[in-house]
Amino acid sequence: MSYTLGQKQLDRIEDILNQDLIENGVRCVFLIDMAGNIIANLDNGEKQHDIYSLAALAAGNFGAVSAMAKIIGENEFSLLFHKGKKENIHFNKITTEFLLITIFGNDISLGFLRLKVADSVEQLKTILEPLLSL
Amino acid sequence: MAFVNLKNKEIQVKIVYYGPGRGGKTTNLEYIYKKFRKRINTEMVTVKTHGDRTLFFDFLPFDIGMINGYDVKIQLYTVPGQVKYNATRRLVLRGVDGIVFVADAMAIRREKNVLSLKNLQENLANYKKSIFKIPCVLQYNKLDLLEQGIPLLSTDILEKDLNTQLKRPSFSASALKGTNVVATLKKIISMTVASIKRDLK
Amino acid sequence: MADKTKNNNLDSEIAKRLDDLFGEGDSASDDDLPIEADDNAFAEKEPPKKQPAVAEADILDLKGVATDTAERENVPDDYPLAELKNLVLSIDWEITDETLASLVSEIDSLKKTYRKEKIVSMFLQLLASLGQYIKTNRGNAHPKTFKILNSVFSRLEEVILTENMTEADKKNLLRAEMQKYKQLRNKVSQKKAATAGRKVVPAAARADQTATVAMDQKVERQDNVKAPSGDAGAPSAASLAEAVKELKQFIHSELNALKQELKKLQKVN
Repeated sequence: MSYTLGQKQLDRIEDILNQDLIENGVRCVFLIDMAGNIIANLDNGEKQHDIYSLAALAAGNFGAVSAMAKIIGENEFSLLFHKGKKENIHFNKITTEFLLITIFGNDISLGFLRLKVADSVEQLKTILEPLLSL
Repeated sequence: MAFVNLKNKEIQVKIVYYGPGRGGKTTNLEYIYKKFRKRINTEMVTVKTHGDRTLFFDFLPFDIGMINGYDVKIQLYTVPGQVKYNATRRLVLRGVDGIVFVADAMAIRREKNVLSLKNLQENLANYKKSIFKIPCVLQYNKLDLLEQGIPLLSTDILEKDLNTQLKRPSFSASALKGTNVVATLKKIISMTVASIKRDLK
Repeated sequence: MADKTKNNNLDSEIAKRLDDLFGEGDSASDDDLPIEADDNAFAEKEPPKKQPAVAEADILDLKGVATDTAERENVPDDYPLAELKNLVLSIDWEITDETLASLVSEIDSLKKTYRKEKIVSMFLQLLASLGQYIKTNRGNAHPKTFKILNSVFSRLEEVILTENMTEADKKNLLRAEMQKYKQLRNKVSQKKAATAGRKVVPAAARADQTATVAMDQKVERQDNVKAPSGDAGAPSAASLAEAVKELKQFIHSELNALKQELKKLQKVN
């Protein structure tokens, strides 16, 4: 099974991520599927990461943590977040197939980021959910 | 599952190297990475144990350039082969488009090859994928041990054990020396990309 | 027929691409058994064997999901700010209606406790303003608000916990926080002015006289105003200028009120 995203959809996705996240100080955001494919990727121009490796590891990480959740009797964890000294990374599931990953510094509080991510996710769902019925 | 990006005219393809522990999956990727580093121009990611066994996966992405107007990006993964890492193997298989089954040609590994292939079938079924439908190439690895006098399974036996029903292309190889590593890779990429194109129609 | 030709073209294009990438690569060895690709699916399927799930994946030790609790040492028992601290730290992790409501309520309660301590009261009022602003705006709050909330709380904690801190020192801490608060408010006002083009803001919003009018109250007033219907186009330059003028007036009045309060404080001491 493959899926396709057209120009309009991808533009809309980028707009949402830009407005909600990049413009609010998030350093880097990428939307991937659970196989590790990158659907969209935006950053604030400051630093370039190896996003292909990040995407593969993020998908693997999220998958591993989800499997752990099931083992301990949880359906899923509501927060997956890694805190660094300067950079932090937050994961959010969108439907069963996609992941939104944000990298942000300490100038943004996690609570605020989670609010903005929740907003983005609601909007992205409307674009991504139809793909799952294909 | 392959992802087609119509905006960037890009197709992302996931190929997983599967097989029993210590069979040569990681060595395949390492060979490709070392030999073609300059042309591929990307880094290989490995998540290993201290004992140099794959713990999570190895990952090597590269671009093969334009095909029919689309930029085809290949992502090679290996899985950890040890039996205890089944949950991890299942994770890595998610969204797979093509498989290279790296069998260990050493005689003592005969049973492990078969078990690993069955394990692949089960894990694919978990994602409602059939081992009979997914693009797949078999590689009978460790050809180089022949000259060291280590007993190897003959190609006939390997074919009989592993390929009777699948009837897929197969290559005898030496991942360490590089024999047929690239041939295997070329074959699986061709098959996978062709299959994706068919799916999209 | 056309399909087969197409497939052949595709195959050859892929082969060419791969040859370009991998060059001579490795030629097939003599032991090769290239059973040519027969990609047709097998009709016969082996029924998959069911095995119990072996969920024994080794756990990959990532960089850690660490909490960042700023735990203070030597915090006395019956620490009066314990609940407030808890709430401020919670907001750092997750912003919910409950936490915000509890924050506002806890601050109210502390205000009563500290009503006789001017400086502490002012700190609490700052926190109240910020809390109310976040509560009203949530995701639309200025990102820096949370850092300032934490900062104001930390300074308040310092004032309360440090024995024998002079009034002058306390005032300095307060001033520094008020400065940050002012800067934040200016940023918010600028942001509002920038987006005033999207809404027509009515003239004459009253300016409050106390130093501690929450900026969110202003934001709320503006948000309650409905733009005239059918006016989806760009507003006139006049209405934009009016909005900017109004905001400037508000900032001036706030600043004046703040100055008055500070003077009062100085007189008291």
